[in-house]
Amino acid sequence: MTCQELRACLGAHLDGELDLSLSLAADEHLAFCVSCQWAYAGERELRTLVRTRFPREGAPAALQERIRGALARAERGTRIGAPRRWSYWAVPAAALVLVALGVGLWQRSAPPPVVRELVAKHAMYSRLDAPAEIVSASQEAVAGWFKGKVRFDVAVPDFSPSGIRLVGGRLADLSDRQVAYLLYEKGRNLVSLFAFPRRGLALPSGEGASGGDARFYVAKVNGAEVVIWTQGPLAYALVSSLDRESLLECADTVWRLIGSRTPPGA
Amino acid sequence: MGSQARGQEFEDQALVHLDRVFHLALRFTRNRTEAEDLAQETYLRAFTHFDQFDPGTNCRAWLFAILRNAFINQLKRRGREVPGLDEGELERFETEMADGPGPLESPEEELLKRVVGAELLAALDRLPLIFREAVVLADVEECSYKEIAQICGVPMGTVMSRLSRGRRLLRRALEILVREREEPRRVR
Repeated sequence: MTCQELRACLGAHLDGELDLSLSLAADEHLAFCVSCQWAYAGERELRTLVRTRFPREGAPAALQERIRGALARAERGTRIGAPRRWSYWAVPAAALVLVALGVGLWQRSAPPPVVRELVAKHAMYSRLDAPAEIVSASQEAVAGWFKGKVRFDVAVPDFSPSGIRLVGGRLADLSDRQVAYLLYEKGRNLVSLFAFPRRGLALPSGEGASGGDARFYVAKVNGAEVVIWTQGPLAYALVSSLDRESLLECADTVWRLIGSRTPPGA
Repeated sequence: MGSQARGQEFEDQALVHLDRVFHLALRFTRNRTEAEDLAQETYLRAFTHFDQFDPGTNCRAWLFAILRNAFINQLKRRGREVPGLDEGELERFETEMADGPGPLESPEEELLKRVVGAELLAALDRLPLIFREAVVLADVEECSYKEIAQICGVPMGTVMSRLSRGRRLLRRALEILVREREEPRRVR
């Protein structure tokens, strides 16, 4: 073994990861080569330093409780025979296969990353039994919970006339910005309403949509309907496996609620 | 397995590693809030797929693999390039390291004795992801090369070369940090 060969596997030798024949060859070289002995000692010194002096930080106590709670809720949701709380894929698997096979190419263009991320969040949270951090059917309680947690006012709309019930809210993030996330349900369908500062985000717009409502961008991504719009300094997104009509109706409700709260020109 | 037994089994096998899982999440995200979210997501995923865990194997390494996947997916979902996998970034980093202050007059063993914990942390967090994870997994978490290969989804040879490159860069970053602290006026 040459010096160069040894240097290439010095770390692995130190870690006891070389096979027997290489390890013996390395030891043989080290026995007579002073400069390699020096390099080996340096390597060991660094490894010992990291192993003994690296500040290892334990998990905060609250995190363990948070995870236990989330697991307990997931456990209730996955118990054999128990239905999932929300079915997040309303479309049959065959339709998903068709999309995967390239039917999606018919769309005008691929949905922007923001849209895909929102749908991914919706899908992830609908897999959990109760993802809300505040569970309450009271609009006031949920709106109050967000105070001081996000730097904008969170309006909590009432969709109950459409049979859509408020479940609660939680904080989420989107491209490093805070998102107020409201969860609603209709039967086994989760309806997600996201509100977040629009500034600096590349958002799709509804303008130019043929036959649609120009206020809203609509799309179907991975089987979920998405409606996105901006109003004042915020952007809003509704994601659900409900049909598009119902979702647009919800969007209109939010639009009117925000419109009634925002002074003109603000 | 009944749901209660399954919950207890998960608690005994997986939840006991929370400190290590959180710490690895912290080294990946370098942000406390994001690390907490990542740890929670890791445990939820692990719980969902707990039937796929082979009880005879190392549960901690299994959790680390789930955590790494969740982290990479998160980056991709946000439309971000996965840092540390981009050759250009790696080269820029290595050049930057090479441009730092020259070697100290004292032997490096002496230098390593003067490193403080905070510098070790800062130097490690400077490394691009693929080197950072190799060094953390091998030297902080003391995983075997085989475990690292499984966690990172790369061959053993790649683990070996990333680890040796990573340790070299770590040493260089430490050298720079110690020198900056001890001889602030002479640097740059």
